[in-house]
Amino acid sequence: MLQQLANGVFAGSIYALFAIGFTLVFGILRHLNLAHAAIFTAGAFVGIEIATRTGMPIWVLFPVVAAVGALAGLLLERVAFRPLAGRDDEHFAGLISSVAFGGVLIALIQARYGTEPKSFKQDYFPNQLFEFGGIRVTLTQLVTLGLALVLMLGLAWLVSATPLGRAMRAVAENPTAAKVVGVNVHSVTAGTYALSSALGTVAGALLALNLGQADRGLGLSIELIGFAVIILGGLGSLWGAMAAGIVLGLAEALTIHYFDSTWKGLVPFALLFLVLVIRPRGLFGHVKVREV
Amino acid sequence: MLVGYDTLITNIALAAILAYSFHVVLMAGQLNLGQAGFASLGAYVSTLIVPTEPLFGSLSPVLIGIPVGAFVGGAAAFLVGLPVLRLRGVFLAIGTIAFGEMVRVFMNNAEWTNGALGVRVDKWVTVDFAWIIVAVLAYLFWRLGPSRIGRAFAAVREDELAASSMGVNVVRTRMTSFVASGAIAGVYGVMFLYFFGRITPTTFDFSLTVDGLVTAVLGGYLVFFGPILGAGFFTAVPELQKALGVEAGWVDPFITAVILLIVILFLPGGLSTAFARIRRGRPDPGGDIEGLEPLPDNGTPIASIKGLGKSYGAVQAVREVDLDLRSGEILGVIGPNGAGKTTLVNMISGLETPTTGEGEVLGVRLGATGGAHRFAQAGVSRTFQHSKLFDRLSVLDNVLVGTHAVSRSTYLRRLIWLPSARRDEKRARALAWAQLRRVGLADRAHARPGSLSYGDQRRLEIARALASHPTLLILDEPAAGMNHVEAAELAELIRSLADDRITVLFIEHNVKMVLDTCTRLVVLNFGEVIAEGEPRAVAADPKVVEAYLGGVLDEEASENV
Amino acid sequence: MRLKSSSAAAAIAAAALLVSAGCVSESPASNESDSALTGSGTGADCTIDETVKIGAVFSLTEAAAFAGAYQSEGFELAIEELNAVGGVKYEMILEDDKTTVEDSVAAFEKLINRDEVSAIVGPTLSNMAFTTYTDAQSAGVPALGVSTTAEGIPEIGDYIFRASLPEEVALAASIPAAKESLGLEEVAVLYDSADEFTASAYNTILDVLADEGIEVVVDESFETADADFSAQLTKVLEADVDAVILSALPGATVPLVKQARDLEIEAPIVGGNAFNSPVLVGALETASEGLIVGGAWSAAAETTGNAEFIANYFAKYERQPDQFAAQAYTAAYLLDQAIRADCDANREAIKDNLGQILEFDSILGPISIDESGEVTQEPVVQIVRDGEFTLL
Repeated sequence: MLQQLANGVFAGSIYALFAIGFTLVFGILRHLNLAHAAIFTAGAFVGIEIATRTGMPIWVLFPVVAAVGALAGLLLERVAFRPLAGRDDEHFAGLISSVAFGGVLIALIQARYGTEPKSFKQDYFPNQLFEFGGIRVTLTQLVTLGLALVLMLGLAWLVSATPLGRAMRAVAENPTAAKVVGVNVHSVTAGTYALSSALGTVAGALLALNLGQADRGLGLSIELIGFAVIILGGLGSLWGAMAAGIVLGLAEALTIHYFDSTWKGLVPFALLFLVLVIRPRGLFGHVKVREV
Repeated sequence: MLVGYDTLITNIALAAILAYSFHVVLMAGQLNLGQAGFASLGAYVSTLIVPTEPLFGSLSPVLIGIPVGAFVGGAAAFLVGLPVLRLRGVFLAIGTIAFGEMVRVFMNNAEWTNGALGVRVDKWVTVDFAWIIVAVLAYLFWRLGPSRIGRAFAAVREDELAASSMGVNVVRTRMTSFVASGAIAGVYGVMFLYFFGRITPTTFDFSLTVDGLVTAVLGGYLVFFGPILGAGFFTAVPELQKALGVEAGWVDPFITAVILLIVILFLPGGLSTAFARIRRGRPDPGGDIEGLEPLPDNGTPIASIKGLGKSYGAVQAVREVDLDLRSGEILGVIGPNGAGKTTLVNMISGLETPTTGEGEVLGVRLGATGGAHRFAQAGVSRTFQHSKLFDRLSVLDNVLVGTHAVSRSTYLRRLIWLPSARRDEKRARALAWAQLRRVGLADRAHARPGSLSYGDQRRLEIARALASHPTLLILDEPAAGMNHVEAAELAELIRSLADDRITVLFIEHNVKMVLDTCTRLVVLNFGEVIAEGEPRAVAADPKVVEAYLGGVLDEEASENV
Repeated sequence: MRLKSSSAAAAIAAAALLVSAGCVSESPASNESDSALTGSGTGADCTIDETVKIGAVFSLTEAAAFAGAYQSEGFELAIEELNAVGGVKYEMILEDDKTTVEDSVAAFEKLINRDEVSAIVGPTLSNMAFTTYTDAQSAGVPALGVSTTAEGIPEIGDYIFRASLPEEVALAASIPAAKESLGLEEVAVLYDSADEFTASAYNTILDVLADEGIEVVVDESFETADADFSAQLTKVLEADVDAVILSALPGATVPLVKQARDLEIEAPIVGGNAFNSPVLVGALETASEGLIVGGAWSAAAETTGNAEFIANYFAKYERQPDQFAAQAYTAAYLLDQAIRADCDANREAIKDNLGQILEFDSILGPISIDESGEVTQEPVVQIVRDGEFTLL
C-alpha cells in the first residue's frame, strides 16, 4: 500500500514535469500549444544523442538539452504563433499551426534518427535501488521527483521575483495593458515559449532515462494526461500542475491496487471530467471576474 | 475511368464527413473535440442493430446504420453537453477530449465490443454512397449559412453576450451545434465501419480528433464546402508526392506538415477563403416591412424596479435602486466612473442577475433564470460600452443578427425551398437595410465592421439593436469617442427614435448631450440614485454637483469630450 | 424543437437519395490470365519474359514503423537476390500504409487495380489485414502476410496466406520450454490491453498456461503508451512469482523490463514474437539477460542461408536484421517458389501453388504452407545470454 502511494507520487512527477512547460504557455498566453509533445520527444532524442556522443554527465546534459529546447521554443513562437497574433481566428489557427509545427519536428526526428527507438547507454546513468522502511525506490525515480521539484521551485521563483516573471504576469493579466505600460509583449511571448520548451525538452530527456528508450510517440503518449493535469491544476497554476500530476499518479496507482488495471486508463479522464463539471476552474485555479 | 481509385475517393468523402462534425461546432465557436467518442459510440452501437443481410434483398444495410449512428451520436452529445456546455474555449476542448478517451477505454474493456480485438462486419459502403452523404451534408450547410439559425451560430461564435442581447438563445444554439456535431460524428463512425469492415477501439482515438479538426480548420469553417476542400487537400498532397516520386518515409509527412503550416499562416480562414472572397453582397431589396407589432402608446409603463442591488463579494456595485420607465421616455443615466451605471443596465437587459430587490421589464422578471435572450425577445435591445460587433460578419449581417428576435426560423423551409422562407429572409433583409439607412450606414453595408471609423462602429451597434424592433433601447455610452459633430448627430437620432415611440435608456459621460437629449435624468453615485427628475433641475442639484468633482458640471464635463 | 425537426427533414432528404444509391451490387472477381506472365521451363529453369510485379504494403511511418522498415528492407534484399538468379525478373512496388487502415486499403486497391500486381506481401499489422485481405480475396489476388499473426487471418479466404508464425504457436513453444528449464508453478501475466496483437496473445497465454497447469497469481494490464509500470510491478514483487509472462509491443517492453529489473524483480521474463528483436537487447543491455523469447527466427539458428542473410543484410543496411526482416525475406522466396512451380506468375497460379509449398528450406528453417493458407514451421525458443539470443 505504501509502496503503491510512492509509485503514484513518482509516476505523477513525470506527468507534472510534462505539464509545467505546457501550463506555463497556457497560463500566460492562453495558447494550447500542441507542438509541446513533439518538443518533448525531440528533447528525448537530442538528450540521448548528446549523451551517447559526448558522455557528458547528467547535470551538464540537462542544461544543454534545455538550451536546445529554448532555441526550438523561440523558433516555434516565431514560426507558428507570432504570424497569427491579432488575427480573428488566432485561437483555432494557433492550435493548427502548432500541430503542423509538431508534425514537421516529428518528421525531422525520423529523418535524423530513423524509425527505431533510441536509448541511453546503460552505464550512462547506472540505476540504484534504495529501500526506506520496505518501500523500494530507484535512483531514477528520485531524480525525476527531485528535478520536478527543483524546476518547479526555479520556475516559481522566476515568475514571482524576476523582471521577466513580472512581465509575464503582466501579459497574463492583460496583454494590451502590459503593452501600454512598456512591456515588450513580443519578447515576453518568445521568452515564455523558450522557457516552456526548455522545460519540455528536459522532461522528455528525463522520461527517456526513466523508460530506457525514446521513440517518436513518446510525447503523444503523455500529451493527453498533460491536458488533464493542466486543467485539474487550474489555469496556468504551476503548483497546481505539480499537485494535479501527483493526484493523477496516485489515482492510477490506487486503481491498480484496489481494482482492475484495465480500468486504469479511465481514471484520469473520469476525474478530469468530474472536476470540470463540478468546479470548472480546476482544483487549484483562481476565480476570474467576468467583465462586460 | 477511375478504377483503382475508389478507396482514395472514398477516403476523401469520409474525411469530409468527419470534418463536417467539426465544422458545425467551429461555426458556432465551440471547440468540441469529443467527436471520436461520438463516432465510436455510433459505430459500435450500429454493429448491434444493423442487419448483416441486404434489406429487401437489394438495399444496403447501412441505410439503417446511418440513422442509428446519427441518433446515438446526437443523443450522446446531448447528454454530454448538459454538463459540459457550461465550459468555454480550451476547457470545453479538454473536457470533450476527456470524454472521447473515456469512451475509448470503455470500448476496450467492454465484452460486447470484443475489446481490443475489434469488430468485423461486411463492407456495405461504396464510393457513391459515401459521396451522397457528403453531398447531403454540403447541402444542409449550404442552406444553413444565410438562415436565421445560421446567423445565430455565427453570432454566438463571434460574441456570446452580444448574441444573447440580440435575442439569440445562446445555450440552445450551442447545444444545437453540439448535438449536430455528435450526430455527424456518429454517421462518420458508421460509414467508416461499413466501408472498411473493421473497427477497434483505437480506430477512434485522439489522433482522429486532431485529423478532423485540422481538416475542418484548414478547409475553412466559414464556408459550407470547407470540409470537402480540407479533406481533398489531405488526400491529394500525399498522392501528389507519390506521383512525383517522393520516397515513402519522413519526407512525405514533412512536406504535408510544411504545407499545412504555410496554408494556415497565409490563408486566414483556410483554403476556402480564396473562394469566399468572390461572393458579392446582395443589394437592398427595399419593400415593406410587414408584421411588426406596434410599439406601446406613450406613457405605458414598461419597466418597474424596486430596491434593486448587486454585489460582487464585498463590493456593492448597485444598491437599493428604484426606477420606473414609461413608454416614449428618453431616460439619461449619469454618474462618475464606477457609480454602477453599467451594472444597472446589465441587470435591466438580463445579462446579470440582481442580488437583492425585484423588478420587471416588459413582463420579464429580473433575476429569473433563462438568459438575456428572453429580455431581447420581449423587446429590450442594447448596445455595449465596449463595442461588441461581430467582427467576421459584414455590416449588413451584423444588423441581420439583430432581426433574430422579430423573425421566424427559416432553415427548415429553406431546405425544401418554400417561398415563405424566401419571403421571411427578404423581410429580415429589408428590416436590416432600413436600420442601416436610419443610422446612415447603407453605403457601407458590405464592409467589415473593423474597417469602419469608431463613430460608425457605434452607429452600427445602434442599427443592430434597432433591427430587433425594440420597445426599450438601452445605449451604454453611445457617444464615447465621438467628436462634437458626431455626438450632435447621435442626439438627433436618439430624439427621432423617441418620435417613433421607442423608449430609450442611455448612459453617457457627455453631460451636455444628455441634457440636450433626455426627458428625464437619473444620477448614480456609489451604486445609489442620488438624484432623479427633470434634466436641468437634476443637474443643478448640489448633491449631483458635489459628486462631479467640485461642481463645474456643465462646463467641464461637456468640454471633456 | 427546431433541432429535432431539422434533423428529421434532413434524414428524409438523405434517405430518399440513399435509397437510390444504396442498392447492393455484387460484381464477381474477374481474373483473366495474362499469357505474358506464363513462361517456359519449371523450377530453377523457369523463364518468364514479362517482369513480375509484386506489391508490398508495410507501415513505413507512424506507430508500426519499427516493424515496417525492417520488413521492406528484408523483402527488398530478397528481391535483389532473386533477380540476380535470373530467369524471372521481379519488380517490387512498395507502399507505405502509414499504420492506418485508410492508407492500407487504398494501397491494396492501387496495387490490385492500377499496378495489377501478381501478388501482395504485407500489410504489417493484423488490424489492417482484416480489411485489406477481404479486398484481396474478392479481387482474387494472392496475399501473403509476413507479420499478421492474429487468429483468423488465413480463414478470410483461399487467396490469403501467411508466412508468419501465429502467436499462439510461438507462445505454445516458449512457455513449456520455460517451464521445463525453470520449473514454473506460479507466474504473473502482464499485457497491453489496448493493442489488438497483445490482447489476442494474452488470451493465448492464459490457454497455454492452463494447459501446462501453471497458476496465474498476478494478472495485470497496461496501455500501449504507458510510461510507468511500477504499480503493476509492485504487485508482481509482492506475489513472488516464478516468472513473468509478458505480452507487449517493443515500445512498452523496454521500459517495463527495465523498470522490473531496476526494482530488482529477478523472475525470468517470457514473451512471444514481439520480443524477437536485436533492438530490444541493444536498448536493454544487461537488463535483457534471461529474457525468454518464442519466435519464428533466430540469428543463432543454423538454418539454410541464415548466415549469408545476416551478412548481406548488414552489408546493405548497416544494421542487424530482426525477425520481421527475416520473415519478409522468406516471403519473397516463397513467392518465387510458387511462381516457378508452374512457371506462371498469374494470380491464380500463385494462389494454387502457394498453398502447396512443402518443407521449403528457408532461413526460418523448413517451412510449409497449406491450402488453407496457414504456415507450419518449428518455432524457435531463445534466451538472452551475454547480450546475445541463444537457442534454449
